[in-house]
Amino acid sequence: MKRQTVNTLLNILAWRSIQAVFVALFVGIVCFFAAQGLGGNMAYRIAGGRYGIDLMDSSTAESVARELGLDRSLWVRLVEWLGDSLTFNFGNSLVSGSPVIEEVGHTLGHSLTLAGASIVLSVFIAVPLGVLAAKHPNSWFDKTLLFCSVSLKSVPNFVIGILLVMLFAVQMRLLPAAGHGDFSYLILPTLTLALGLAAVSVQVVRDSTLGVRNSTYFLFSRIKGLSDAQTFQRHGWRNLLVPVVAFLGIQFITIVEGVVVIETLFAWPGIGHSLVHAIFARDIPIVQGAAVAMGLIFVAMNALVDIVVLLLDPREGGKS
Amino acid sequence: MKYLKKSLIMAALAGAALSLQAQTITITSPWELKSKDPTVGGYAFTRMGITETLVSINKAGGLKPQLATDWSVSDDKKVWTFTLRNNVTFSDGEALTADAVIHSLEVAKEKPGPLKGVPILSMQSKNNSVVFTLEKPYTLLPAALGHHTTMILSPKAYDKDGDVNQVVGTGPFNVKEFTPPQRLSIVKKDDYWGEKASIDEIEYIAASRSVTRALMAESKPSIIAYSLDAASISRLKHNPKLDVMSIMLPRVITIKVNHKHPFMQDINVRQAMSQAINRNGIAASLLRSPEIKTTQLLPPSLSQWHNTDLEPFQYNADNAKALLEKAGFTFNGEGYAEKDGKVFEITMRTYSDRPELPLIANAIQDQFKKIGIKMDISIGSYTEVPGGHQDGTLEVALMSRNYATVQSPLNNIASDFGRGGADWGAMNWENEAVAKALDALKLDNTDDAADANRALVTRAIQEELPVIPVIWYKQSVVVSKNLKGVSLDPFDTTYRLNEIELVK
Repeated sequence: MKRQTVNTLLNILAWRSIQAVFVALFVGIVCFFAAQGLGGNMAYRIAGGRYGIDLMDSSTAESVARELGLDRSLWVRLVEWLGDSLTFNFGNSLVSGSPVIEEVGHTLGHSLTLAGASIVLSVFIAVPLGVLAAKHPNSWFDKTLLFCSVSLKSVPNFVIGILLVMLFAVQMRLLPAAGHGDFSYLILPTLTLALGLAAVSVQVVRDSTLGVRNSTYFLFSRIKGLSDAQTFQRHGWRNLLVPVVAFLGIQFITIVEGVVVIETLFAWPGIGHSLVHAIFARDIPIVQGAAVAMGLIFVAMNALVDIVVLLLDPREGGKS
Repeated sequence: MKYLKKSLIMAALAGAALSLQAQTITITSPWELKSKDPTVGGYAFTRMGITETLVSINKAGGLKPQLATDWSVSDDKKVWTFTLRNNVTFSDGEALTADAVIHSLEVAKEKPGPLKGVPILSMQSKNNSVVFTLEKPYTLLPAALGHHTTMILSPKAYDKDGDVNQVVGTGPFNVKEFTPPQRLSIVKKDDYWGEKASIDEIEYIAASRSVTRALMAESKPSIIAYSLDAASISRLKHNPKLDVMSIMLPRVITIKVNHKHPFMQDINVRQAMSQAINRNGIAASLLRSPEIKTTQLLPPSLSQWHNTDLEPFQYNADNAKALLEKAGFTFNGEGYAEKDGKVFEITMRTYSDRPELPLIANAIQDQFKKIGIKMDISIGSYTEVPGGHQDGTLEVALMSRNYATVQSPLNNIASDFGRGGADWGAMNWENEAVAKALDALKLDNTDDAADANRALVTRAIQEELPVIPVIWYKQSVVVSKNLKGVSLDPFDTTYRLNEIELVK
């Protein structure tokens, strides 16, 4: 690796680390105030989340308020959170009483597993198909692929999910319909998400590949006598993957953060689902913990994309 | 592409092999697992047969001994003695003792739940029994000791602060894996004191969507799926591998009414509102079960509190309009009822935690419009109902109320319709005769006067409509045909899993 590249790499890491600290602080504080600003009586909401509809009433709400000291000033509670967070103590859920780190870790772990598996599977679907389509643009294959992409994208994710469950779980009885546990539970939600992701990324791959194929450097390589395969090997992959990697980064973040519908359809204990519950129940430590964790993942993902792009295309690093 | 297909099929086969290996049955319901705390997540542990209470409910709806073999009360009805079952051990090997029971109950008493309302002066261990000394007679003590919040856990289940860090109970099953919010797996306990379970392992999956539970029912080899929607039930009825079972629960969908509202404080207006509701239409068309329309507050399954002498609710929109006219309303050009220059306009609060509530609210909105009541619907958190009761801003709310959180409906009826009303009960409505009858019942609900007192209460509720009952609640459950011995508990306290057998 060139020295310049190494320097750029270290720069990226340093800059992203500083960013991570600020993102964590900012997100944590904003969440704290946002939760205060939400409508409804906080003690009532927490009591509702904790005890459920049959046991919750105004007297349980009062005891919750007393127990949690909700009458203390906002600033006292915020400073307390900041102080605790500095010592890596993120508190306990107001609903379940278990440590935030445990709860967020559990759900975030499941979300990351699902997101990671979906991205990987979508890459295996999108890259070969996209590259193939770009080889013969406007061919019947390219057009069919575009048609499939558009149709798949226009169907809501959960419809794809239900269809897959009907096929693989209900009809063929090969896979569990919902739940979590061993590997088999991961397959259907992953496939559901991957199909939706691939529907878009396949076109990104195709366009990017087409851009490379139509470039002057590609033409030059062909003129100087290299075969199409050799040219693609030497000059194609690196160049076409740069925009694709950046796009995959965005897709990854989107599915970590926003697949509540798929999570609930497959009874998958993801962070989106738990965040929604936490917001309803005004479980501020969980909301803060989840939001901070997602903010940090955002930063980490950006760092990872930067690094991969740098390794794919070190010229940028050289220039700066 | 070929590789992709191959690997997908391989993965699917691997998954199938794994899921075949474990001979488990599955329970699915919408209720998420929250925590190990008995008051927060305890219902799941008693339902699944991990923990037990001193008293439980038999199939006829009466009390039956569980960890207590019998109980008696002194002549002044202030001292209750519960004799404990011998040779019961917790899953950590500790023996069940009176001290262990008292410890669990001491913790429960400080937390929300029916035990909090019991006027207990002291709890003492005496030989192998627990003696409760009460401040005043309280007939509902045994019923309260059947509630899941009073589950008895091993003393070692608690940490220094009294929080439960391990669910160590006496039930027919032990916890194998507890991964809230969605999964719990349990294994049978070989040294259980009672009827031992036949199924080795059971997994519980909380799936919030009804469609998910229905799809699971269709795909899992052995499953019990709770709380399915009407549409899924009608589809699954035709599945040759599944049975549909249902049972009436003591849960009622009612309209809570603010009796201080200038219009609704008039009994004619409340009668008009009640008569405007086409309960049969809602039950039959919307919920596809005509039998769940209310004829009075409580269903026939709660026989003590179902008063057969009462005239059932009638749907009569014309008469409803006449009643509004009698109350001094006129109808304006748009057909809305008006009095003193003000249009009859109210907001109904409801919530979507019970998915049928917004649907029913919409139907009622339509039916009220026909008699000239303009009603807006505000869908939010259910905590807005007690909140609105306390701050007085609530006008009407459509809510689902469980009248038998403990075995006797008296507990909730007394708080809902007694003096001062309650968050989930009457609002600014009081009836001294009803309050007195309820006080008497709380002291003794078995004496000769009890029947007359119950009749007085049910009649007053029917006539004065402190809340307007709409729909009773039916629990529908889908069960694989290869499961024998499945029974439903009308109080929804247990799944009776140790009685279930898997037949090939």
